[in-house]
Amino acid sequence: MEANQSHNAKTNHPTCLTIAGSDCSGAAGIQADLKVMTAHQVYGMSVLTALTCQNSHGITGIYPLHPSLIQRQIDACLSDIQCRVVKIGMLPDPKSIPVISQALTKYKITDVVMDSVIISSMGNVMCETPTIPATIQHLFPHLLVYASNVMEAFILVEKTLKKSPPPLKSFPDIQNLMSIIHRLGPKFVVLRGHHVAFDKNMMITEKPDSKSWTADLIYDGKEFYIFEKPYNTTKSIHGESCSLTAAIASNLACNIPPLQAIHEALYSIEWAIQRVHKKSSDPYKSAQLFTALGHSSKFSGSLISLKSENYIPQADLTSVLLSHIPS
Amino acid sequence: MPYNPLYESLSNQFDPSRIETVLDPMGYTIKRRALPVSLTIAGSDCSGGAGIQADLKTMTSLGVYGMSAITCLVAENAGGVDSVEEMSPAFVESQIDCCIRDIPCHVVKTGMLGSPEIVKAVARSAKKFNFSKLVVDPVMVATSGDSLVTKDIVSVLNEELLPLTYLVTPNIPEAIVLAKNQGLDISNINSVSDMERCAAVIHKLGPKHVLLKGGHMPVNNLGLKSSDDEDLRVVDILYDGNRFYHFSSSYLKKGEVHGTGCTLSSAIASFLAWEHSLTEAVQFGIDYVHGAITHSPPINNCSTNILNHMTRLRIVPFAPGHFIEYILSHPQVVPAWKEYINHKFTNMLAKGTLPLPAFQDYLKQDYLYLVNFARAYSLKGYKENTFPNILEAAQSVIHVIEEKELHVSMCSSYGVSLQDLKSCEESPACTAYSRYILDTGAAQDVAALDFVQAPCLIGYYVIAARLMKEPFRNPQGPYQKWVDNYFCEDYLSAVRRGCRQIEEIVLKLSPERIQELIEIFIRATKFETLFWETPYYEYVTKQNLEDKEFS
Repeated sequence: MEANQSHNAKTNHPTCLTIAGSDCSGAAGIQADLKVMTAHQVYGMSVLTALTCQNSHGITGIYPLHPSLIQRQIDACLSDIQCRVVKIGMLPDPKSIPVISQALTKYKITDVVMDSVIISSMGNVMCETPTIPATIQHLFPHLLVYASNVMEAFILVEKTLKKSPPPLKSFPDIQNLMSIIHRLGPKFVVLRGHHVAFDKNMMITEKPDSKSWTADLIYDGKEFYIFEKPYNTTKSIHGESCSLTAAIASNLACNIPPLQAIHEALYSIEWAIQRVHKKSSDPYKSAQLFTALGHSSKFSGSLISLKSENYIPQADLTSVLLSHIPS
Repeated sequence: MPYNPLYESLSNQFDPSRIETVLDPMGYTIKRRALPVSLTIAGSDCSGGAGIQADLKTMTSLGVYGMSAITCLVAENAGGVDSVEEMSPAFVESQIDCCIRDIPCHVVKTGMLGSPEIVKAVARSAKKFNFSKLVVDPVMVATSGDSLVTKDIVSVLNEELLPLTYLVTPNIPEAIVLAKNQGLDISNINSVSDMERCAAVIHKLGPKHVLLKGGHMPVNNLGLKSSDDEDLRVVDILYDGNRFYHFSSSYLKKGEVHGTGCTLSSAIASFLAWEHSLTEAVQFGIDYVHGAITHSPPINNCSTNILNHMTRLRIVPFAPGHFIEYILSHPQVVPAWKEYINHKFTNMLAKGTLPLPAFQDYLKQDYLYLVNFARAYSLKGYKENTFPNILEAAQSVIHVIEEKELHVSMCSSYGVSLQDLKSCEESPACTAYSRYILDTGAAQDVAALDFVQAPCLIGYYVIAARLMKEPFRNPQGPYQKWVDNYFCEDYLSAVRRGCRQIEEIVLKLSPERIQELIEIFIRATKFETLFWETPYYEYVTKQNLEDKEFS
């Protein structure tokens, strides 16, 4: 019995807290997070780190909140309602990071999911330079899941190593990037392939064609898991990365094991994005992402380990059927 | 559009491809996709039970895309307000501009506004963008808690915002404050008729409609204020300037529940965004809040009850279009599926070590099974209601008959004549399986028929595909023709069609019904295994002809 479908008084209703900025247009930030949590029947709470004026065309203002105000919001939430899952998003002010770290320790938060918000989907830089080392020092030891796209992961590693890592040319290079991030603390690293296109030889190609593919990757420190999908040239949807981490956190709040929680989240987000792309154009894409999410919510499928001898790129129905032949 | 909350969730009715012609907020005629949108202008309650957080949860649950402009930050939980930080009026206005310029929106709901200057900013935006369905929930808390500032907020609310308001939703104490601020006296409210008088007074302040909420004053059957424990009702009164509408619901003794006011106003705004009439929107909104209170979720350590905004969401455990993946990886399905797909009979068949009599027996029983398979598709045609679906079932019957012709031809090449097929007696396994299919189909619906036939349809392709990859397969073996028959484009297209039908049908079913159908799928899978097992036992096991590689 799923926790969120039981009204037994002995079972706590799943709860989740998001610590992130505010996106007044409703497509990102705590607004997106609350919608995703609601779609998963999780009671969502939110702590604002910044207020922004943004919509699907861009951001016109970012106003960080004072760390003491963040502290009070966290205390107001966690001193009242039991919660063990926290999602962290936009942290524009590095001074707020120690406050958050102390709160995670104080309230014994076990499952922390972090969404890397260095560059928004429209290219705006979202945080100050000192934020990255402070995040790695104070927050990474708390993390259960760290999720980002390839570009942000590269920037993170670049600023951490204080020298440029080798340019990304192939699939193994991306795996190496994930290994480096994993050593910084997160137990699970999620990398969304997004705008990276692979050819049939698993090399990154600058000229994608109809046979190109991409993938989201999960790394648990021992094994890589792949969530493969066809490559397409569509633009990012405003708010999709917020939605992914909120979905992961929601699944964790429902007591779904981490690997499955991540996989289900990737699937539901991917399905929602596909649905949106087929049916709408700007500025409704991000809006419809959340409407679509209400339909998808959860998926219980099998993860394909890269160690599987049967792994073949280019999924379709036959691959789906064949990948489920029990050995 | 027709809507009945007893039967359907709104979000399932939403058609994002619908195009309509509307006036945009600046008065131009535009064509746009009909996506219900609403904006909330209110404070932020970080604990999630009130403010823009409760509003966004409500709108999301009701299938409306919610946007938010934050007026103040409240560090509040269900136990009380800890501190309030106010936004600048210019920033509030900027947030509103940012939202409206991106996605046009006429339905706007206001909550805690925080200061007189912010109320004025909202009024300016209401005029600028033509908020034709402005719902005002007159939250009375001021940033400083100072009663003098509260008075200022109420003054500006009365003078500048209410004249622009489509619906104002005060509770009785709030109504008294609003009226008193303009020198109007509302006192001694002890009955429903007193509430009507009160609503009429509020209407004089300028809003088009007034919804006076009666949650603070439960009444008895006579419409009189009462504190008796039995049969108490809450009556909310809607007044449009001409007539009163009463909305009555049972009084819920739930203690204090955090966030009911903003949830109701945002629910009403959501239904207005769906273009319901106001009376419908109010009734549905009250129903929604009633459900949210009734199903208040259990959360340890929470000092008061909180609302469950999610009572109407129904979560299915798979994404639309991915049900086949879900069922084939379902923990209850995997053991039976595994046994079926990996059966030794098929392994020996591919390797070529299967005794010919075993294969011949299988062919005979499969012929008899096909007769009943065609009957099952005929039954499905009977159960379908539309010509396209009836036609599809008929085509499936034809496909089975064509498969029968291929089957007879294959039988002939293995020494089984048509006469042998016709004179053969059904095995118990064949009888049990085929009658299970027909019985399930006769007793239940089209979905059950699809599910009971799916293991055979999908499984034969999967088995053939698996065998094609097995290292022990003998490409020159005597039975390769059988494998080829099910690993071909023609058969795969039949599999695709069957899978598509299942994917379409499961979107209309409840999770409970899906679980029942999964059990049918499992049972049918076990019958498929029995279908292999019977000739295997008779001609392999009993004859000591088992292949060591598969034992």
